[in-house]
Order: sequence, then C-alpha cells, then structure tokens
Amino acid sequence: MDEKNNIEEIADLACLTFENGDQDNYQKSFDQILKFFNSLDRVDVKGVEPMITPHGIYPELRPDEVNNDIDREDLMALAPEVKDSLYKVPPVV
Amino acid sequence: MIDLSVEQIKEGVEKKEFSAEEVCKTFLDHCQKENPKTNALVRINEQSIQRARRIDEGKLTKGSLLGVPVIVKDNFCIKGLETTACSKILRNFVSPYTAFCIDRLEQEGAIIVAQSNMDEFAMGSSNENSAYGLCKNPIDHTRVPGGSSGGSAAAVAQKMAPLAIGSDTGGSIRQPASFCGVTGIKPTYGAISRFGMIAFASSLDQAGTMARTVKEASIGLQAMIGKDPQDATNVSFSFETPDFQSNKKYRVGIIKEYFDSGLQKETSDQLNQLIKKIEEKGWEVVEVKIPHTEYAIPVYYLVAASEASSNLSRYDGVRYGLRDIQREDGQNVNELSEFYKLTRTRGFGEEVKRRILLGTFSLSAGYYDQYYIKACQVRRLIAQDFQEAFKKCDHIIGPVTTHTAFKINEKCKDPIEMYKNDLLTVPSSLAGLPCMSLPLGHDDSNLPIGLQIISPAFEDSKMIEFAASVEKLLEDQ
Repeated sequence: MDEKNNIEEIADLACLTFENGDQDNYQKSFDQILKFFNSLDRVDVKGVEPMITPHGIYPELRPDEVNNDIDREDLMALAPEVKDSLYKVPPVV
Repeated sequence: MIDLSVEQIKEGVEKKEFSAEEVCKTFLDHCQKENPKTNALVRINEQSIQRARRIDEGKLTKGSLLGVPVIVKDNFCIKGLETTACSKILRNFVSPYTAFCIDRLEQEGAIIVAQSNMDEFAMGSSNENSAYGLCKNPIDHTRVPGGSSGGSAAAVAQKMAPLAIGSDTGGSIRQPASFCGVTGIKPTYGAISRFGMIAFASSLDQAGTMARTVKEASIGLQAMIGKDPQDATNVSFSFETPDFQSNKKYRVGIIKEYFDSGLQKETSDQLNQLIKKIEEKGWEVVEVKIPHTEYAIPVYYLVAASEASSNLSRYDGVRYGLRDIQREDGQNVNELSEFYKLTRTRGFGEEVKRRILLGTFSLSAGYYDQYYIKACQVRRLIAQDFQEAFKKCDHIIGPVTTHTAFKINEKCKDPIEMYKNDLLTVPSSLAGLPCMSLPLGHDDSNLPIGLQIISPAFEDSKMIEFAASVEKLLEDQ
C-alpha cells in the first residue's frame, strides 16, 4: 500500500473540486492517513469472510408498494429551483 | 423543576401535579438561558408549547414519556422542523417527515424542545466540525464536549432536558457522555430503526439516548425500540424492561488491551478501585483479550468513510438543500458536473470532504479489495475477538477514552490524532454490540471520567440491568 494517489483524480470521482488552493492540504492529510492505514498489511486475513454488516443481518425487503405518505408538492417545494413542476438543472445534452 | 427526573415529570403530568405546559415552558426558558454558555443547541423549538397544551387538554393521557422534554440531535428528521446534520449543504432543509424513532418518542408523550449541535454529518470526536460553530464543554468552557453528539451531552449536563437523543457510529454517544459526565446508551446495531436518521455509515449508525441516570436513558431507549419495515436492517427483538433492583452476580470482563492503551493515571486508578469493589461484592473479574484492537481505527475509518462517500452522494443541489453555482467571475455554471462539484465543495465542511475522498478512493477500481474488503475482513476478526471474550464473561467494563476532555483546537489540525481518540469506542461499534458510558468519577482537574460497558449482541436489557448495579456500586463508593 505505498502508491502515490492524486487527490485531484479522486476528487473528480467524488464530484468535488478544490477552491482557494487547498488541494495541497488535502493531499498531505490523505497521504498521512493512508500511511497510517498501512498497519492493516500486518493482518493475515486469508480465508476470512468480509463482514459487510453486523450479526449476519441481511436486508429484509418490504413489499414494493406505492404509498403517498409524502405529498409531491411538499417534496418539490424543497428544491432550490423548479420549473413546470420539474427540477431545474443545467442542460445535460 | 429542571432537577426532576424523566419518571418524576411523567408522574407529575399524569397526576396533574403540574401541567405539561408548565414543564415545557420551564425547560424552554432554561434552554434560552443556558445555551449561550456552550452553544449546545442549534434550534429551540418554541412551537413545542402547543404540543404540551394538547397533552394538558387530554389529547394524550398515557405514555412512558408523557410531558417529558427531549432534545434531539440535528441529524434526526422531524416533520416541519429544519434538520441539517449541522451541515451548510442542508441549511434551510425542512423535513417533510419524522424519523421512526422520534415518532415513537412522541407517541409516548415526549415533547421535542430543541435540536442539538453536532459534528457535521456526525463526523468528528469534538463537535468542532459544525456549520453552527463549535459547542463547549459545560464543565470547562476551554474544552470540547466530545463528539459527534456533543450538543446532546452538553445539554443533558446543563439540565436543558432530562433526556437527549444522539447517534453513535464509532463512539458518538459514549465519548461525549464521558466528557460531559452523563450516561449514554448505544444499543445493538439493528435495535432501533434508522429511518429518518440522516445516514453517515449505514452498517454502523445507531440511535441512542443520553440522560443523567441509567434508568432515565433506558426509559427513552425502550420507547424508541420497535420493528420498522422502512429500515431493512432493523431487527425484531424483545427488549424486556430491565430490573433496576437486580441483585444478580456477574462475571465481569476486563479487556487487557484497553488497560494497556496509555490511560490517564486518574482513569486507571478509578477503574482499579471499581474492580476492587466488584471483587469485594463477590462478582468474578476475568481478563479477556481483543487482540485486534490496534487495527480498529484503520478498519473503522475505512469502512465508515467508504459508506459515507456513497451515502453523501445524494447531496447534489438538485432536489433539496444548498445550491451554490456561481463561479468566481460572477456567472452561474451551465454544465452539470461542474454544477454538482461547486455545490458539494461549498456545502460540505473540510472533515466531511476528507472522508468522502478517502471513501471514494477505497471503493475505487483497483483499490477496493486492498482497502475496503481488507477492512471488512479485519472487522470480522474484531467481532470474533468479542465472541471469544463473551465465552468467559457476561459483560465487559473498561475506559471510554484514554484521557478526559481535551482542549478546543488541540487536535483539529491533525486528523490522525483526532481519529486515535476513538480507539476504545470503535471496536464494539464494528462488532455491532450494545455498549454504554456512565459517569465513573473525575480527574484532578474535575473533568468527568466515563466507564464503558460492552455486552453481547441483543442483550441490551441485561446490559442496562448490569449498568444499574454498577451505578449503585459507584454511588456507594
């Protein structure tokens, strides 16, 4: 685990950017944290099943039924910008 | 009146010794008076007086929390109230629905008098990462109250309400409870529905309670437990009302690695005094081992950051919350990916962005097995360590943190130092176990020291019974 990872490439994947030239600080702390995490290299995990959720809880799915607990208008009212009852965003195509 | 317990308020309202409105008004006034000292609250809910009046009018006559003022951490959605997780990206978001567990509290007659300060999206151990400004420790205003539920802990210590709700992902109830000298319970993962609790790390997040005593925290917890089909990981299990007068004998486990973690002298001295008391009482004390303790911090921060990077992808400036898309030249962006980036970059605070970056990296192609999956494998080893330990004992006791509350600004420039503060709380969180913190004593500077109790999964009620016995033992000291 000793790769040099470019914080700007990761930020792009995360839909983030940097303002005020703060990428150097993020890069520095990111590198330090990854180095700290390298202690996991010492653990032998051969044959160990990854634990994704505790107690073997597997999602108990509810019936896929439409309910109208929340009013559409109330939800749309939360949006920063709405046009003709639709969310407004910059052109996509 | 602010000294009354949860039970005393409930009984007084039920027997009409005083009105719910009188109680509510007293606590609202006390919140207004006390809050400027610490900034524990982000909103005081003056509308709550209407709800109190409805109780007085007989619209609700029974409930374990009838007329009891409750303070709720700002990451639980409450219909009609602003809910922001103390993040700029959710500023002005008024929730259109109420979290399942908060709904349960209200059904039992609770009155939500205020919402409390926290680290943004529950990411932090000091309550310094809040868009509403930091919260101070009520015992020493130069120190942090702990985090992320720092506001809830401070509010209980300042008697702004007898009961507060927090959430615990890696110690966010236990650590602030310890730093502020109150009791905090994090139940077994899956015990309380997460529906309506703003997600941070979905395989770890659990709601819980904070109060001055074990019994009060337990009454609140019991009200919140219940099967909810809206949370697929919510488990149906029976929570028996604990016997607070229990005289059971226990086998008490002591984790060797926790005692060897560089504890402050007063903490280890007071733990040793308690162990002596336990032995004198005739309970058995056994040493147990959690050999993978040293790996808990990297495992926790990889798992939690990975889940957070996914959960927080929903904040995009389209459907709710902040939209900030003005470029430096004064023009609005007109391209979608830049639109997302600007809003998210300006809406999230520094620590949240750091964790999103870390999580995005650990889930990215080429690194997923090396970081995320590896962390999940070591997580299982930690859970197995606890399973082995509980073959030898009924409950585990130990410290909550190595040191008492630290100074404001002491650790916030060094993320790793801040993360290390969670060393003794994250292992049980990773294993999904019920655990809690109760006041053990004070250090030489009069700062509170907390005692941590960890119990087997779904033995929450037994843990609380045991905690009540320990609480009694400490009172007799």
